[in-house]
Amino acid sequence: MNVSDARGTYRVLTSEKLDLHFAMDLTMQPTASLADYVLPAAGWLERPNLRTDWGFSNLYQCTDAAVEPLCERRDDYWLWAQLGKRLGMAEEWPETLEGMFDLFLEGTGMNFRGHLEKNIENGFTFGLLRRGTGPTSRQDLPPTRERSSFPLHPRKAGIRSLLRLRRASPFALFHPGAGQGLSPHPDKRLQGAGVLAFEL
Amino acid sequence: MLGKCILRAITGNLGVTGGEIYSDHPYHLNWIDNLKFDALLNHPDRTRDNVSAGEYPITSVRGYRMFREAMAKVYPKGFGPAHYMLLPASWAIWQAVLEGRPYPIKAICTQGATPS
Repeated sequence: MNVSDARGTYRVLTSEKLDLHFAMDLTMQPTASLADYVLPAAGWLERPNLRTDWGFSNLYQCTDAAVEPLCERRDDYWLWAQLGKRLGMAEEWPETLEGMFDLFLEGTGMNFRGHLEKNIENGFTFGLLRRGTGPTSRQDLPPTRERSSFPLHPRKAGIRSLLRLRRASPFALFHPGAGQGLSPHPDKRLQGAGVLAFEL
Repeated sequence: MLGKCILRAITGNLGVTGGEIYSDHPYHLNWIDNLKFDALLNHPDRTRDNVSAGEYPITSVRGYRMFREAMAKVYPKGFGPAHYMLLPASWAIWQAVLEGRPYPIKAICTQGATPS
């Protein structure tokens, strides 16, 4: 609740007109200390995660929980699933967060656990999906005269070292075909940042 | 910015090369399908709009429903980020708790509730 008027917030959360205030948080911070009930939340290392760019891209990333949640900490999916089930929507809410991720990943032909096991060495899996090969297809979209999309062909797109490109030319990043033909920098530590260089 | 968007639309430059290109939805991730916005909108317990719908009609259940119907003509499955339209203004929540207008709110759940 990052809202203005902290005094007003305090007045509301301590008002006798409010029958119930429950908080779910990582720490017992001031707002939680005003609650009738505090539910300890699992931290980001204690829960699986699926990064999807809010459904805007074909990029997704699966990460597993590093450790089991300590004490009685639970992920917030548990909270909303319990509420959803009690509001008569039980069929919409899988039992676990991972179960919900499985639904999101159904189109990949592999569940969340499968993705993790595919690349377990790194502890995460990273998928850049090709267009037009999934179960849903382009006919779901409105027809256009000439569809154009961000190029993802391996010959035309590549992740290059940002430092390497800067060394090649100060304007290389803004040029079509920037970075083509450059070999990866031998020092992996210098390749933290990357850029998609593509030809028009 | 808005003017440029409108000009692109009325000059027929949406979804064509050289104009404003539609981005495709992810094909493998069942993102839209699992957001269940229609289930939220049509829930039998939803009998009234949110507490700030009178002041800000666009961020309301009614506003969202109209947006949803319009978007369905372009994207039949809907569009993701519009769920923000269902969120009421915080001052209106406080008013609903303290003054019971437009109807009383009796329970609140807070998450990540850092005071500011």
